[in-house]
Amino acid sequence: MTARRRPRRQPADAGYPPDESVGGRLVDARAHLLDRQVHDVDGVPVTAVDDLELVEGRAGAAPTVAALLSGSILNTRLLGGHQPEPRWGRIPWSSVAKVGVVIELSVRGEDLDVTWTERWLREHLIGRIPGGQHDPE
Amino acid sequence: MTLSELLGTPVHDAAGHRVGRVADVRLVLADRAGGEAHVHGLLVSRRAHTPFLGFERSGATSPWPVAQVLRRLHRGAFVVRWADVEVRADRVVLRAQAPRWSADLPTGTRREGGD
Amino acid sequence: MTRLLGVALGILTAIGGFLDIGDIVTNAVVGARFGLSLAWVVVLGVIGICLFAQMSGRVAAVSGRATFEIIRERLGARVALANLVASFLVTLLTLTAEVGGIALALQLASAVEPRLWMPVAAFAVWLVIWRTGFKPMENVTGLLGLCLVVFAVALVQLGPDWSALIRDAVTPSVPAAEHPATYWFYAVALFGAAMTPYEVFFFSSGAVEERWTTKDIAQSRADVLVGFPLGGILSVAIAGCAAVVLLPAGIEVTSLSHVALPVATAGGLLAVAVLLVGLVAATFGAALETALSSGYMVAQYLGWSWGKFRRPAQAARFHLTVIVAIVVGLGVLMTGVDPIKVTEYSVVFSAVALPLTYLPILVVSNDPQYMGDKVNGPVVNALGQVFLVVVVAASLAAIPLLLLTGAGS
Repeated sequence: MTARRRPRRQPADAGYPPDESVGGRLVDARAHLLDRQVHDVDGVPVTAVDDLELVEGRAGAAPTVAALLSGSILNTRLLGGHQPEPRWGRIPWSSVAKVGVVIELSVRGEDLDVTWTERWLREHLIGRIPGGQHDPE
Repeated sequence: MTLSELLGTPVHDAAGHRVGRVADVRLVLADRAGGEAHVHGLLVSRRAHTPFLGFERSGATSPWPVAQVLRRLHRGAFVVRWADVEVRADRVVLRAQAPRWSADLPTGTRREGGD
Repeated sequence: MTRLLGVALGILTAIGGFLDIGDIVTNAVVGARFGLSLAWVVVLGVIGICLFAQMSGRVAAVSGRATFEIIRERLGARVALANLVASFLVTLLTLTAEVGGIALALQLASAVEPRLWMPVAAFAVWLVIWRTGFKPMENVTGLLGLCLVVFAVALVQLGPDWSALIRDAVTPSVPAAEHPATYWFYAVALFGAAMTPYEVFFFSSGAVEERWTTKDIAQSRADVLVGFPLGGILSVAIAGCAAVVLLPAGIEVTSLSHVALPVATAGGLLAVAVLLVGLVAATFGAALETALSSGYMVAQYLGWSWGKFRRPAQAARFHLTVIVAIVVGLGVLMTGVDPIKVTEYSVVFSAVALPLTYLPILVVSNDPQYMGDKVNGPVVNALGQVFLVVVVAASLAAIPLLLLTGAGS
């Protein structure tokens, strides 16, 4: 067995060096963003986060989250492979208002591309069945 | 690049030894709504890289036996800063002497948004 | 006064809504072959469903999240998908059994062939989901389901040897005529019938539908802790009736008329009429719940808008899923399968799928991130972990026992 030289582990409570401000709230992408529900500004569910789009930062800066991804991208995540970018269902990160137990957007779900199946079904099927547009009794 | 492409990638140290896999990506969220979220670092875990029931980093300690089993599976996880990392086609390589930080989120940082 | 009425209504609805075709058929089958020697399984199942219904309701009330949303967050997309597929198939199987049960009950009432009733039943289930509010739907089917109390009344009327019955129940043993493997097979089946997996999804989604807050937890606790055990007593009464009338005569339960025979013997036509109302209400109510649950689990996994509290056009994909589930269930029934057989398989597969639902609920109800300070107390946790072992054991034993005993023959 080769002896492995372990780099010094920072103790849990030391946190990060005090002279370096992190500049915001720390979240873990998989633990807090992935597979979370996304609600629009009115609290209506939009979709679940199937993946995140990361883009390289300018001039070697850290990558940023460009968008929440949803839709057929889930198949790639589950089965592997690579899906061409134009087919990704994107919710731009700029629409995200708050990251909590659910991810809340600052826009209406209706205005997003990812909800087009819901709108299509509403117009062509469910909305056409008598009573579909009625408020529940 | 998508998150899922990064997750699970094998991580090697500068000497070429395998140290684990990318278990998560730690982000910094800007304070204002709609502000930028950039990558702070990568969470590397020696063993199981799939989170299971969120035990590995939530404060929950019950039910006790399940929690103990899962904590054990995730022992030895650490964070490396993005600047100390190089992402290649099939692996992530840590720079020599890259400091490894505790995987726990810093105390005083709320992990979840309020309800 | 209205509060007291509200509490009473909740409890009565819980009792009437407890039984579904799985409980009714399985308890009758078991009573006719094993007497009351499997009654302890019903007790176990009732404790278990009380525990988990309470946990899932509390999780929904405190966190505002329904079960499958949490399952996906906790287990990740891949594992949660496996969970979804398995749970969906079992719920679909149960839905099929329930719609079949409606048709069988209507056949008993009208002597019209069940296959003619099946499309009617399926359409009626859909129509109620489409148009009726959540609470009225639950209340009506729950209260009418109370007619199944006729089983308890019938048992008393039959004047059985109570000491023999009680002895049978309290000191269970495998009857001489039956093989131990068959005994345990029916134990698993009865357990699956009592602890229906879809119930957890339905209960927590219903809590979100009705906008429960922490104030509603107390009411729900009363409904569950009083209502479900009383419903369990009805289950045992069904087995008791079968034990008293069918077992001595060597009649095996292969149709709903066998289930009704003890009631007819005890109370004649009037009792049977009441029984039929109860049967239709119980199976109809369960059909509504399983159809909605199919929609809930898919919509919650994928993040769609869902719920009866939204107008259907605002939850289009959810309603489409419900329609597809009902149509598939109807399609299976129209191929001519025996709904009683479908029921027997649905309870066994329910037992197989149980751990998938209960482990996440047990874990999340302990997580302060979702529950704040309303996490499980130590007693609930201790019980919950004991039941997890029981549930996993039943799940692992189900398929081997199914194959070994040829589905109980």
